[in-house]
Amino acid sequence: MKGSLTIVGFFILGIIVSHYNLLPDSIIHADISFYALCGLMFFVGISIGSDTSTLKNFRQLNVRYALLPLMTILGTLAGCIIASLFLSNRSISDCCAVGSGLGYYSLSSIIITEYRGAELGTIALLCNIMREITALLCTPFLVKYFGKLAPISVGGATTADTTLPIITQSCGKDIVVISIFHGCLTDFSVPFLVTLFCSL
Amino acid sequence: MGGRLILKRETMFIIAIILFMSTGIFIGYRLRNKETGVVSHIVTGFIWLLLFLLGLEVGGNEKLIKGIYNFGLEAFLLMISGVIGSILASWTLWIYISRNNQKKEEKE
Repeated sequence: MKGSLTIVGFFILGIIVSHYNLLPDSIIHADISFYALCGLMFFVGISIGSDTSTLKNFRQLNVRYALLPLMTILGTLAGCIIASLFLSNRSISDCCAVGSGLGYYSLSSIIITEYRGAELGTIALLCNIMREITALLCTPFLVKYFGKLAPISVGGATTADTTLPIITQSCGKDIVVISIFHGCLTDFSVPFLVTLFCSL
Repeated sequence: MGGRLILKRETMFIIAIILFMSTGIFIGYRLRNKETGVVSHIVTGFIWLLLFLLGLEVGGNEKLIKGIYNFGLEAFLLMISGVIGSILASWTLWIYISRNNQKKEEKE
């Protein structure tokens, strides 16, 4: 919990710094986050590779875990369809398009802005950033009450990168392979799902 | 046209990330008998940096800040319903797999 609060602290610090223009623009517009993500993945790789039990766990993995990405997508869409009943000014396909971003805010908001305009694009951006933050904050709680797969499902398309370290910490290293598999598969499905629901 | 361009960039992006991670796994495997405790601190540092950068992006985007007032509630409702839906779906799978494992252990 303390770890997640520190993370949100850094997020809020970032908002404050850029809202009051405390950093020069050149820093903000550089692709630092891409390089930071590459660095993160490199060191996550080292921690996986240096752990001798990971390979053993990979062999013992239940094939049924492969169903998890499907469960994530179906569960999210079912939730969004129910939410659309309460949002009278949004169609079911609008709600499903926003939801099928699965936490991948950058890509989903760009696609939705292009197809459906800036308003729904902004909603997609907000909704999916919130999803990532929820995954970061609630992982310890979710593991306790809903099992080791719940934080991966909530993390959606981010479970192969940004939320992977927290999931590893809370669920144990035996879950790492499932998390990465789930993250890669949902990552690839986001552009297809979002485009599909935008064109309905 | 635009859509295809984005897809191409995204594919490059994912390939780059997988490459970095595979290199890391390879190096980690070579280092497996050495002390690598410092790595988890580095990982934590990178996560802090990434979330700080995400904050910079959000805070610098006027449209987004205004959007929170106008569409924040709608976005939150969609987020929470999607999250609850996925929790229930993954919980079902978790219970199903756990029960199957139990049965297997009983047989053995």
